[in-house]
Amino acid sequence: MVGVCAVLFGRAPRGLDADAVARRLECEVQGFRPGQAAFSADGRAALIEDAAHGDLYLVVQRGTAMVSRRLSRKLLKETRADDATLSLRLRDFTLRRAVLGLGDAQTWRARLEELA
Amino acid sequence: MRPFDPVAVATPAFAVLVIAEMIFARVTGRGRFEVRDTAASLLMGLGSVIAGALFAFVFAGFAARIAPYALLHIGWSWSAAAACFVLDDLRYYWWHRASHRVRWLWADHVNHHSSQHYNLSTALRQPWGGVLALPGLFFLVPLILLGFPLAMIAFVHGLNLVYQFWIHTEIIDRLPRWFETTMNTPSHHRVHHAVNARYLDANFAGVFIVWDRVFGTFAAEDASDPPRYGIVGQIASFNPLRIALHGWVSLAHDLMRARSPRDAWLMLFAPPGWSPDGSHQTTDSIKARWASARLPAE
Ligand SMILES: [Zn+2]
Ligand SMILES: [Zn+2]
Repeated sequence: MVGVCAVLFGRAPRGLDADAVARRLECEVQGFRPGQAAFSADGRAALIEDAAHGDLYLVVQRGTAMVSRRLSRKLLKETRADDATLSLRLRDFTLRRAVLGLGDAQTWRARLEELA
Repeated sequence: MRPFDPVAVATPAFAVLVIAEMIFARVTGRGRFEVRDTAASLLMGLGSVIAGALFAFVFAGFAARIAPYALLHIGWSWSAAAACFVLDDLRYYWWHRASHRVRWLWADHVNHHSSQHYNLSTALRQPWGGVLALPGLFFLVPLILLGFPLAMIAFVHGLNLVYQFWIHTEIIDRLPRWFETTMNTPSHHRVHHAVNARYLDANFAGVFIVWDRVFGTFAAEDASDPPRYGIVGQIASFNPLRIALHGWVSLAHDLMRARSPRDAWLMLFAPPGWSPDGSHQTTDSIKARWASARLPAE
């Protein structure tokens, strides 16, 4: 069954699309208004601000689906950044790590450190 | 003689139908599959069968202890089996409703809802909790005390599960009105698997949707608000072990941080999302916010 599924649906999914991410968060978060956003170079993760509430969301691609988390100091276990990579470790049993290829990784890291 | 198990007999048909749905979905564009999601669902189904076999003696022991106190001694007949089927479906409704409203039971049942896809393979995504979800067994007590043979209860429950397989699909839209009114259908069960605020905690039926209509939990699928499937905090893993454990890990994590026996009790028996400081979302709070946002501005 998995083999048949791979043959029929095995194409690599397209990366995250800015509109789709915003629409998804609008569905999930009452009153969500998309603010500043940064998309990983590989298209598999994004950080996006909720301009209405001042929150910051991590959105990752899982197959053809998306998974979002509102980031907080409690959720973030470790945040590391070098010139072009932001690595997050989370206290989340099914989403333990996210790596984003971002040109301004240091700026976003500083932003994450300010989270409540 | 081995007891007749409708699920075991139907399993080859399940496999054929999953493949048929994949081909239909690919050809017509109706229905969505994801390789890793389907693989996870199938492994969850396999694990559930193994867990069920391992813990069968617990269920059998539990039932055997209650059976001597039965009020009646109902023998095998078609009419008795039909009555047992209907009453077991009523039992299923209340067990299923409790499984969404009681955190302890949700820790197990959440697995069935953990996919963001909705296709026949999702039907096979079943929990492994078995004995950990012990309170669920108590819903069987009335049937046993009424005096239905234990093998009959197991048989009709198997039939109920077989019925529920085919409703996990997006390729069937609506069925004739009389059928949608009385029976659980793909449309009704899509609503049950949806996380859209309007659909939360609705359509707990197994076979007869009548129970939801009678007990006030029915919601109709609305074409203007297509279901988004999964759970409120979607999981980000296709690993069957992580899927099977995530509800239990989350519950254990919260219990370890309980500050009083009362908090621990409520973490086990209050609706999922309950927290001492009210900082987490419950389906009730999500629905209330959604409803208030819909009110016309005064
Ligand atoms: Zn359910
Ligand atoms: Zn289901």
